[in-house]
Amino acid sequence: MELKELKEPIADIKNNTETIINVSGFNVTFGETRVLKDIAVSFYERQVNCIIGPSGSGKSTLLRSINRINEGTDQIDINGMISFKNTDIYGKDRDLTLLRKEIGMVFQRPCVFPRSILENVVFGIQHHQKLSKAEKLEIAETQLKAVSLWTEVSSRLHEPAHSLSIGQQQRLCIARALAVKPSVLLMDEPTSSLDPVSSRVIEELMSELKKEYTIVLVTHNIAQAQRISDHLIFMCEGKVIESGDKEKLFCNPDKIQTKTYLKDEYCDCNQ
Amino acid sequence: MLVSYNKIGKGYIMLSTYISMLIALLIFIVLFINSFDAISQVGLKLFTLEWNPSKNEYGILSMLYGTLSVTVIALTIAIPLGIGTAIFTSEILPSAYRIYVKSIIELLAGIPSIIYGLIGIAFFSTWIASFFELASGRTILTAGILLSIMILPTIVTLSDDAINNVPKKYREAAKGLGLYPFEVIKNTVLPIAKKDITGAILLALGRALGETMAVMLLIGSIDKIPTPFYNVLSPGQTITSKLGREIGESAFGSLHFSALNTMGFVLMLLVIILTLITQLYLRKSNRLYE
Repeated sequence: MELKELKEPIADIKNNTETIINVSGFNVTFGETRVLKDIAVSFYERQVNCIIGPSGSGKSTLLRSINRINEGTDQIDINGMISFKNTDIYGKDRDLTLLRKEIGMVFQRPCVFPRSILENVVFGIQHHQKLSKAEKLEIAETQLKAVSLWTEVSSRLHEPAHSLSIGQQQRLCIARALAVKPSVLLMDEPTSSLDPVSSRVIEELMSELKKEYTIVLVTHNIAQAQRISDHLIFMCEGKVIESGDKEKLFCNPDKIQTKTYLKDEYCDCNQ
Repeated sequence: MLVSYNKIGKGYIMLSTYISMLIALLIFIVLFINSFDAISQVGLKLFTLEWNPSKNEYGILSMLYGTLSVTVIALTIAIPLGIGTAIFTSEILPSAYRIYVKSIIELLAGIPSIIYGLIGIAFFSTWIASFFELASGRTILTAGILLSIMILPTIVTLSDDAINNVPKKYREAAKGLGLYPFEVIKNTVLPIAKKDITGAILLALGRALGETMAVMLLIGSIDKIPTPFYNVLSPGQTITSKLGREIGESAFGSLHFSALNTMGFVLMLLVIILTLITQLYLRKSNRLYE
C-alpha cells in the first residue's frame, strides 16, 4: 500500500487532476533518423501541459503524433502507444476524423483559409454537422468572444480573413479549432510568429481556456513556459529528460540537464 | 561598371518584352489589313452558311460552328479527366511515383499532332464508324475526342502543378479540424488552386481552338452545320481545317484569300475574348483568395 502511494507522480497529488493522454514506449523514425525515442509521458486534464526543449528535440513530432497529423509523411515509422481517455489513438479502427474532432490543433504560423472571417470560424464544424445561417453566426459569436476577437471583428465578419493582422489571425485559428468542440487543444509554438503584445494576448487566452480544455503547448520560450504552464515536460534529442510540476522543474529539478536548460537555455544531453 | 550592367540588363529585358508585344500586335494588324477586303465587300454576308469562292460567297458560320463544337467536345471530355488525374497524381499518388506518371502523361504533349491525326484516321475513325454504324468515321465527334486526348496533358500537368503548389499548411489545418481526405481536397485544396487550374484549362482551350492538322484529317471537311445542329456524328469543318485546306489554293490578294484571313481574324478574336472573360471572372471570384 505504501509502495503504491510512493509511485504516484507528485504532480497528481498536488493538482488533484487526472491524466487524459498517456504516452508510453513511443518511437518515431523518419527514414533513418530516430526522432522520438521511447517516450513515456502523461498529459493532465484541464491544465497547460508545456513541452519545452531545444530545436530538433522532437517536441513538435510528439505533439503532432497525438492527433496523428504526421501520418502521410513519407518514410515515417511509428510504434508505441498513445492513449486518449483510455483508448488507443493508434488503434486499428480509429476514426481519424473523430479523433481530430476531439483533439484540436493550432499551428505555429496562423493558417486562415482564403475565405471570410465567418466562414473560417465555422470551417471545421460545418463538416461535422449541418448548420443554418443563424447557427453559424451564433457559433462565430461564441467562439470569437472566447478568443476575445469579437469586438474587433463583429462588424466585418464577411471580410476576407487575410485582412486581419497576424495576431488576430492566430486567434481566429484558435476560435476555429474551438468551434469543433474538442477536449484537447494542441498548440505548436502558437506565439512564435507573433509580436510580443499579441503573444501576451494568446497566453492570457490559454490561461482562460484551460478551465475547459486540456492544452498541450510546445514552446521555445522558457519565460512563456514559466508564465503559463502547469505541467512541464523537458525534451532533448528525442527523449523526455524530465517531466513534472512546473514549480518542481524550475526550482528543484532532478536532472542537471533540466537545470542547465531552464537557466541558460543550453542543452548537451550526451553529458 | 555596375550601373552600366544594370542598364544593359534592364534594356535587354524591356526589349524582349516589347518584341513579343510587337509581334502579337503585328499579327493582329496584318490579319486585319488582309481581311479588310472581305469585310468591306462581303460585309454581313460573312455570317451565312454558304462558302463558294467561285460564286463569291464567303459564309464562315459553319466553320465557326465546327470550331466551337469540336472545342466544346474536347473540353467536356478533357476537363473532368484531366483534373481527376491531377488530383490523383498530386494528392494520392506517393510522391516517389509522381514524377514517372507525370512524365508519361507529358510525353503525350510531345507527340506531333500529325501522328495523332494518322492514328485517328487509321484506327479511331474506323472504330467510331463501326460503333455508331456510320458510312464514314470522320465526324465532329471523332475530331473532338481526339482533340481531348491532345489537350489532356496540358490540363493534367498544369493542374497537377497548381494543386501541388497549394501550401502544405492548408492541408494540415484542414486535417487538424477533422476533415476527411476528400473534404480536404474538395473544400481546401481545390478552391485555392482554382485560379491556376483555370489557367491550365485556358491554355488547353487555346490549343483546342488552334489545332489544325489532326482535326483537318478527321473532321470530314464538309462546310455544313449538321441537322439537327447537335448531331455531332456528321462531318463538319473548323476554321483551322478550312484554312489549312484552302490557303494554298487561294491567290494572294484575292477576295478568297481575304475571306480566309477574316476567318483567322475571327479565330484570334475568339481566343482573346475568351481569355478576357476568364480573367475578368477570375478577378471577381478570387477576391478572397489573394
